[in-house]
Amino acid sequence: MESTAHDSQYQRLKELIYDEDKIVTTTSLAKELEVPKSDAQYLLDAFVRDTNKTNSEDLYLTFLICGKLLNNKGVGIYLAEQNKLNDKRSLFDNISGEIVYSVQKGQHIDLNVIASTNSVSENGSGPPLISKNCIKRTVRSRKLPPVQATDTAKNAAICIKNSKDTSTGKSQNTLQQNGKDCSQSSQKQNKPKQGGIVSFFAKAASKPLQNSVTLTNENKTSLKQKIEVFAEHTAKDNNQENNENKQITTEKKMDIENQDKDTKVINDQSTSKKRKKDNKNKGPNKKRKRIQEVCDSDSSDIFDNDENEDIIEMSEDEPAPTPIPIPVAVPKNKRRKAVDKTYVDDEGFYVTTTEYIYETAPEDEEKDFSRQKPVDIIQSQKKTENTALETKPTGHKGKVAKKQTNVKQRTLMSFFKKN
Amino acid sequence: MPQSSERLSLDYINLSQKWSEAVPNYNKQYFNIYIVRLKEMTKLLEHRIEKKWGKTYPVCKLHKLSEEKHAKCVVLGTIFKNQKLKPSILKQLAEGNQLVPQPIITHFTDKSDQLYIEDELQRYLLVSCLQCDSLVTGISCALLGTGDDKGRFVVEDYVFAGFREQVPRPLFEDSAYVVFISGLDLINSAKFAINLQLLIHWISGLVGDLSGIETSRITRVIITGNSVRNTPEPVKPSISLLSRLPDSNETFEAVKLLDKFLLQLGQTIDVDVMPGTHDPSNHILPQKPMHYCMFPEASVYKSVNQVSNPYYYSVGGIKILGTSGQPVDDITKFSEITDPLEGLEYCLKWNHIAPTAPDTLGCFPFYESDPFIIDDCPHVFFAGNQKEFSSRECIGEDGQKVTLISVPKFSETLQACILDLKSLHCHPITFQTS
Repeated sequence: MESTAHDSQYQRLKELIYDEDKIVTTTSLAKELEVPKSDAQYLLDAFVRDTNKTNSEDLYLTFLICGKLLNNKGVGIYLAEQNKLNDKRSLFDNISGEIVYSVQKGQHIDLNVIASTNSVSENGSGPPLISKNCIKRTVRSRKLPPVQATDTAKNAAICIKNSKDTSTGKSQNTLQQNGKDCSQSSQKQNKPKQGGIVSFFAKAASKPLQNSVTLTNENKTSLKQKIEVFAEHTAKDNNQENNENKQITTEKKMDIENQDKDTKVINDQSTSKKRKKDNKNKGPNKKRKRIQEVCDSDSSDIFDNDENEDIIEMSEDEPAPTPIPIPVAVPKNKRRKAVDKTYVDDEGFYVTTTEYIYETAPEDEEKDFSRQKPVDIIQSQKKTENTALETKPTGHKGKVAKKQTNVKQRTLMSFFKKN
Repeated sequence: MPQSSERLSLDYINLSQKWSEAVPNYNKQYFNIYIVRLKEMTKLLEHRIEKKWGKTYPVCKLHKLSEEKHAKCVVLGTIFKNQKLKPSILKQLAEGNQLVPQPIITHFTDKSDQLYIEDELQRYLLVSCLQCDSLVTGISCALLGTGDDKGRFVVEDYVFAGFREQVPRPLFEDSAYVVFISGLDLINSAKFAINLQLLIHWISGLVGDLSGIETSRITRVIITGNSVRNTPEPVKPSISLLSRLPDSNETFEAVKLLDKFLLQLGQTIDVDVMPGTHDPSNHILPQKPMHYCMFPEASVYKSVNQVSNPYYYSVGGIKILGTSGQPVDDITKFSEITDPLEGLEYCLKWNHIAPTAPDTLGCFPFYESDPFIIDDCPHVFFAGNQKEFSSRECIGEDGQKVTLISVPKFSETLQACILDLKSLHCHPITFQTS
């Protein structure tokens, strides 16, 4: 039985070397045949002896020589090729052991490849010697904090908070604004369900805007009561959001901008395409909200709606499958901002990457100024050559120049008089 | 399936809390550390003074030398070595505008170097007796001599704090080994990957006992710094600080290789990893342990420990103290001491691991205590990242025996050190290929 097992293992070793062209080491053979290392070493030694008898030159061997080095240089463990074995033996004072390290078919021996085949695998046979501390720790996984909700319950919290503020002009305005928000949010949610309340709040929202300065105390209290009632309704309707609401009330005062930031945080988790879409949608949505509340009576700009419609149309078109977004086309009033994002990759490493998102630019004048700078330089150079005093104004030279030319070109006489 | 056998394990205690738990506070000035150092050393020096000179000579403060006018007295203080070639930020600023490039100096000693003794209030120039070449700034000592009115102190004899008390080491019936490796420089590991693999094979027992050493009795592996790289990261010559950063990801790849290397070792033996000068840890001493997040695969194993630099621990009752080599390298730069073992021995005599800190060796501005003062004499004292292996035993004034080890850089010498805890003899082991 043992001899048959030995024969089969020997045969398998031959197949690995001659047929499969593998680099066979003691460890790889022990793993392949599922035998102890000592048996694998015995097989390999036997194979090498047999090949030496047959004088086959197809195989190339490496040997491991261990022992004490000459000149008291300590212990040496040398890996030597077959043809350099004698040279390496001469470096030792006393050789304690010499074993076959690897066998392979072929001419060229790459030691790095041999090293890679001989690595101690994690899920394999394991090393022969193990310390008692070589056990895995109990790893606790980290849970990310819950995503913040962006529903009307937040608005209700805002309304409740602001109603508790002091009765000053500022608080009036905040109430008005939050009344707007409440009404807006109420319109959003309550459209399918509570038609009567929607109409009630729609009127209430428009009133403080029309009479923003002349709110009396009675109106204030009534507004507060209405807002509180509204808050109660929204809290009852959205039972799931109440728990989140408690968390939210303990956070900082939520403004519209913070809500937008939250939506941006949620959007950042999605792909960049979606971010751009959402950012594009945010702008028009904001404008859309405001215009719906105000534009009927107060807006003087006729073309606001048209722009929003265009943007809405664009947003409608965007969900259609579009290929790669063109990075050159920067949307209006948007500024590219670099943001660091940290995440865990597949190998478990924390990776920090820099990603670019679009944010609303603070002022349009700065962009106009930055765009006009090279033009200004050229114009200033020309004007300094002419030693004109009109080079002093900086930002709006082009426009001023145009205006001046427009002014000057009215009459020729006015042009000459000024000189 | 080949079966695994259990390796010898000894009791292990990490005694490096004062370095790994140090909270950095940069609000204090550096002079506080010298005051605290002198204060702590004064107790030891007074004991040494009594032992050497008895109570014959009075102990006098430096600022009272001119008032009391003793014929001979003993003064306590810290040595300051005034070196012309010592790097100075003021010199760098002054020379920054010069067109002629300054030569790069690696050894800062000169014949014009002078020694001063300082305490909290006064400073005196030292004359004769003391060998300037074998001393560095920051050594606390007691000097016997006379002071003159010209701000000089003529030294006739001196004494240092000396070796601390040593706990007798336990006796082992059979040999037990600890392996020291240093300077893996994995960023250039392509040149010696097979040698590292041989090391792992030998430690894990795949080679067997052919080397003459029972690998099952190897209890611990200490990696003494500079595992990622041996040389500083190349910096692009640029005015802008941002554009100086290198574009390549070599360091990240090297850290990943280190993780895999530690994983292979951690599966078979206890490993302690110390940070080095060029490892991803804080630069100034004491260096905190490298963060476990850099080793997601290896840190899963309890056998893999990230430790501080300096590192002090006890294994089987044998106390082993060592650094990644920065203090010894600094001593050799600012003195004529060339042998790292000699530098280690002087550190034990001066009773301080890093006397040149914070003058020329970066450290935190400690103000409550000096953590580099040696509290008790170790049995083994090592320094990593040295040019070559060397080891010998030194004996203290009271018979303390310490084995000194200079651990060579593996990337250059392909050598590791193996210490026999039974005899405290250390010898190198070379992993060579054709």
